Amino acid sequence: MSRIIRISLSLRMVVACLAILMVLVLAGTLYQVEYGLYAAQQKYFYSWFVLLFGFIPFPGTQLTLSVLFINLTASMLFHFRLGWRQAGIVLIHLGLMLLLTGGWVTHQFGEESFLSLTEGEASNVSSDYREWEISVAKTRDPDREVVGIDLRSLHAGTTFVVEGTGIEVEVEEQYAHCRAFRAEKEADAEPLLNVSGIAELKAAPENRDPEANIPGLVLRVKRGGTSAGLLLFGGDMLETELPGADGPCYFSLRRKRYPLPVSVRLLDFERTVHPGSSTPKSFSSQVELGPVEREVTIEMNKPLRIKGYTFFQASFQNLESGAELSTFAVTRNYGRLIPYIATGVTVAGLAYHFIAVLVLAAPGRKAAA
Amino acid sequence: MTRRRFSRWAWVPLGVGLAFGAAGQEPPVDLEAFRRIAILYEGRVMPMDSYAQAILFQFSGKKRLGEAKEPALSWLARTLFTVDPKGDDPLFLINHPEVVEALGIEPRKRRRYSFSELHNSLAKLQELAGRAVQMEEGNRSHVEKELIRVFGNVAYFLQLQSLFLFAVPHADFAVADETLRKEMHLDGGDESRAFIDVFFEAGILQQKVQALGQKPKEEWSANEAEAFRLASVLFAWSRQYRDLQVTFMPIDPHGESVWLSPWDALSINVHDPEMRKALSDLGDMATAYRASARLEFDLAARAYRAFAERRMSNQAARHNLGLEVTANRLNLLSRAGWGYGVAFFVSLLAFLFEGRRLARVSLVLVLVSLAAHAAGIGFRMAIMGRPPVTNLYATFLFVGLICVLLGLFLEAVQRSGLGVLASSFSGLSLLLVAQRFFVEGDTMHQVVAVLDSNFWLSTHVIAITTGYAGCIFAGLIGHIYLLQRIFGPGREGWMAATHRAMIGALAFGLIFSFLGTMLGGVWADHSWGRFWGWDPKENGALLIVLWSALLFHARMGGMISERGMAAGCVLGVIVVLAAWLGVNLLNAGLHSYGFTTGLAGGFFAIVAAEVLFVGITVPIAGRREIKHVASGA
Repeated sequence: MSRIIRISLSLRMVVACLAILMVLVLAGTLYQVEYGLYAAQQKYFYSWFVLLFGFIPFPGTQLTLSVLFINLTASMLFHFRLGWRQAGIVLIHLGLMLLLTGGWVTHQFGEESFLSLTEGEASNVSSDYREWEISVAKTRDPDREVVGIDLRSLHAGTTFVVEGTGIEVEVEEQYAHCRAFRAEKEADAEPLLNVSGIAELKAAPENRDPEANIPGLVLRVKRGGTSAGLLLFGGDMLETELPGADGPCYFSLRRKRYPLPVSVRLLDFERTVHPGSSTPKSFSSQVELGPVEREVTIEMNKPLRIKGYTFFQASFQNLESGAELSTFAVTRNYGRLIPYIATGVTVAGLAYHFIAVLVLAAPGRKAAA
Repeated sequence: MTRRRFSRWAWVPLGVGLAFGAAGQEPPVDLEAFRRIAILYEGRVMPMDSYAQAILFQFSGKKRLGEAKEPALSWLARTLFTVDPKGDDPLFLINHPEVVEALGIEPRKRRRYSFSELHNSLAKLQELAGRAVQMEEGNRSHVEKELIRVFGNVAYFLQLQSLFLFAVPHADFAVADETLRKEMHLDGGDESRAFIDVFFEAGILQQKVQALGQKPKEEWSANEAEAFRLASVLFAWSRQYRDLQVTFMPIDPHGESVWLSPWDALSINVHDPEMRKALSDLGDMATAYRASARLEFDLAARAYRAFAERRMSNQAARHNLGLEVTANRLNLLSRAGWGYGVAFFVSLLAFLFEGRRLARVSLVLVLVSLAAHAAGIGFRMAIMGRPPVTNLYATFLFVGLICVLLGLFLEAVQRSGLGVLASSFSGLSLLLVAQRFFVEGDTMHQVVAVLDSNFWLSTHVIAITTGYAGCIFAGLIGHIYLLQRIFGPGREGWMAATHRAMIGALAFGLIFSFLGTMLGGVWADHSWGRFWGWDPKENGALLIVLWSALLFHARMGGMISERGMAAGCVLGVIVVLAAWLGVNLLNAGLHSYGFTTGLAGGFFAIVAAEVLFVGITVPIAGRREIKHVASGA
């Protein structure tokens, strides 16, 4: 047993881990060409185990980094001695431990979402890139309360009761990505309720980038003795109205929302190009923050940081209506400064070690002096 | 052919400057004033000198034309100013044989085709390219991309040809009616006139044509009919040539930068007397060029240049024009490359035969080349107003510079000639590769929005490229070390010094690679909201850090010998290249910043060569070591 521990804490283990990491990084990078960044992250970089070429079991990045972290901790405790000669080495490895910790904190607790606004539009919620929810509300008022049901908790056959409406729901069909079709002819079957007149969903192959998937649901809703089929489609802009216990309820399927600490109104989006070319020069959005009104400009390389959230100019789109749609990436990160500090510590250690050990103490130098 | 090549090589050692003397066809006039005239191309104001090279490169993949190596500026002047420029310049590079076949033209070995060759296939080319354009960008094959590119070039060439037609006499503008000539203040008879001559006197035509509105056509006098004809012809021509993309006339209305082609300037600013003067100066340039009138051309070009520089809202850009012309003329980076080349041969001789005087000569040569190299980079920085590295081409210049400096530092410490040898070789190879494979039409093009941050360009980019330089340099020393082991066994002190230099370079590379990678994370955190995202470029940089760290740990644990370490450094070159270029090969990810065709071939050739080198030298060096130890014992 102690032998296993000794091996796992040895320099040999470090070299093995570094080699494994190189294989993972290379494989994960090549994988992106075919399957996209998100899939590569999930398969290679956020996993404990991975099958290389589909059949060779291999440690994943999470496992390798964990072993390295344990190894680093152990060498801190047992191998390194405090002293001027080793001070650089100790700093390097302390910094790396901090870096790995920072990465772990961000990965575990960070939130990433986005906010798309047309000029003039305001919002105080951001949307998830990939997760969806059923939203049920009792009014159409913009400041209404909404019940959200996470799509990840549902699968065909799940039943639940929507709080405060007395409506019982059973999931009949669920699609991760689908296309919507109207009824081609008078259907014999009982028509499904849908505000846009969608009659049928057909499964479509999932996209390489899960952000582009548009999910759909066919539900059976029951209240009192009556029951009806309800069709919800992620691409539907409108909400489907159903009678609830006390007045109507509005159902829709939308990207999961997160409340923001401020409301953001897009005043103006501006894109400039270098004159006489189509090379973009800058993208910037002028926004007004609420409730205390304040104007700020969010530009590429100049994000807005407020109350633990950061807003970045991510992309823009010219809508068919002629309006401009500006999209911000919104992140909430707890360990944002950790990698900064870690980098400083490690680089200081590297520089110290390089100068103290490799240059000043080089044998050729001594001989010359 | 063989003789030519031989004679060219034979001249090389004689002098760096001589190789640049080759000139093709002499232009009929002196192009010096024309050279400095400003033009807006791809969002950057540049002198005609640079523009000509950029365009010629865009068309033909070369900066000089044909076998005669005609300078780009002379070709451009010919294309702009002559009415029917020689249609058989080997101008258009068509890379894909299928495109040549589809157009029904005779394939040529050098893959460059003249306008007259393409002329009969233009309709076909337009049709095929039109179809390719309608496809979604990601779905286009190489053939379709090539069709679009070639069509774009031919269309642009036609624009160049029509740019100065306003100053060329044409039968359309012969004024037959004598009274009308008098009314328009035109001297002479009914000869062909240029658009501009008639257009400037067109005010009277407008009045006449307006009055004709009520009059039935049969009652028009000859004078009126001629006025109507001229007005329609003028209108038709200005419509035909409006919106040309070649814009070199600054009008800068309210301090904004607006540039027009002469045709658009004619129709928009006809009442501005300064603009009229400028346009007739341009016309005079074309006329003087065709008449081989040196003095007239020079005067007109100077007058126009003075106007244009007065009108430019951005005065810094005006200053840079002269700087850029000087930089083009000095051609410092090419010269530095040749200097390093000569230095390399001398230092190789010095290193092998331990010639002290030769060593001193090579050191001086490296220092002179370094000065030219650094000044060349300095010119680029001054012209662009940016830190040294903004595109793939510039990375090679900068990595080369750092490698040379590392070599000189090594020389200062060890004084063994090894540093000069490594300096000159890395300077030569990196500048050569940059000039040969990574030159684009314009190597100082504007940066896209996400890169528009001098702070990050000067921290992250500098650090990461310095890291590349350290690791490449370590790889270079690794080669030398392995060769020393084979050819000079027994000289332990010599080899120990080489090994130490290698370790130092690798450590240097590791520090800057790590710093650069992390600064990249900081930049990413600032512009995309995440420190690390496993993006290909980030992964590439990480690979360098991992490989160097792996080597150091393996060495520390006694897992590899000095030989193994040297082999590791040599293989590290592959890792650096994968990070540096591999991403451009993958063509995926957020910030691939350049792609050059043929890159894949070159990359894999180097990978194969390095693997082969290690595969051959390491076992031989090992056997030598054993033999030496045995014989020593």
